[in-house]
Amino acid sequence: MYCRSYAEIFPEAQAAIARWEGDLFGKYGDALMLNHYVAHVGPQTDGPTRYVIRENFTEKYGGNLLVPLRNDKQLSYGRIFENILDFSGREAAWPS
Amino acid sequence: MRDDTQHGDGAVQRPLPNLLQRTHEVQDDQILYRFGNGLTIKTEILRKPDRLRILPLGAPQGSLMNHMLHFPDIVHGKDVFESFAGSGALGFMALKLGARHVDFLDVNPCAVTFQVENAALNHFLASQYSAIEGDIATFIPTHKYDLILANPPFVPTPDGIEGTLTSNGGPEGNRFVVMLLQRLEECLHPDGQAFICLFQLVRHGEPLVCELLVRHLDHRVVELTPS
Repeated sequence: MYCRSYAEIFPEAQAAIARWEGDLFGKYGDALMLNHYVAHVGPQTDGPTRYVIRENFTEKYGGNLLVPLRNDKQLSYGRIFENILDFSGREAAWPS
Repeated sequence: MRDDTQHGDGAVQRPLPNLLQRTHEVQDDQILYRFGNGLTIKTEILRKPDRLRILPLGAPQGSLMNHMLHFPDIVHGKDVFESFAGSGALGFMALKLGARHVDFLDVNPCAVTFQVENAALNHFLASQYSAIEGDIATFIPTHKYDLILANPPFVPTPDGIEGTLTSNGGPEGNRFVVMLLQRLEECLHPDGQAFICLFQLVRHGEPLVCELLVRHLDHRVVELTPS
């Protein structure tokens, strides 16, 4: 979805996007998803570095501060639009 | 090393109220944000056609600011470092909540201008902060910080699309996250903490950053919270 969204917004860069998509799939497989995270790095301990993925956003950071996008397509477009220099003609691709 | 994904400890947790009370007004290509605790932050609009534009505030920054508002002890009296600082919103919120000093670092020369202006808007003294133009890859800290705050450029971007300085995170989105993690132990006190906003490619439920955390950090526990 993310790679497809890039191709919709930047049709002139199809070849570069296809190469990038191929590289990602070759390295990580085709089941990649996207998500925002907050990483909270704690003080040093006696043990090795470890991580835990915890579904505690609303309790820790705020009940109404989740990234306000409704689906994968909106998430993709929202982030890609942040990265656009020239918006002319590109907003037509925005999902309704 | 990974712990199993956790979904809370089973106790009923209440959502953290939003204390930001954030409003904003747009004037030409700038945005002025006002927060309930009196903090004022100036940024630029998202659509400014400038690779060096100063990123407006969104949910990632808001979530860290709300956490600080609820738990001011994490910043009170602390020596703070905000890397990829842009407008300096995270660090200035820390200062507003009693941080001792904040160093802002950004490779974007426009960021220093905004940090100085935002400090003036909030009547912070020059002795309370340093606005540094520089690259995290070569930054030489003079001491270790108690707290690091960072919202690095994290948008996965194909080679061939220029993107913006504030958002282009390279093909996998982690180009600058890696730089920060490589330098983190040099910059962060052993007892210190860091909060980093991330946007991640996720494989089998695990964001790509996990491997980087284990590789670059020493004896730390990292909690990754999906947002």
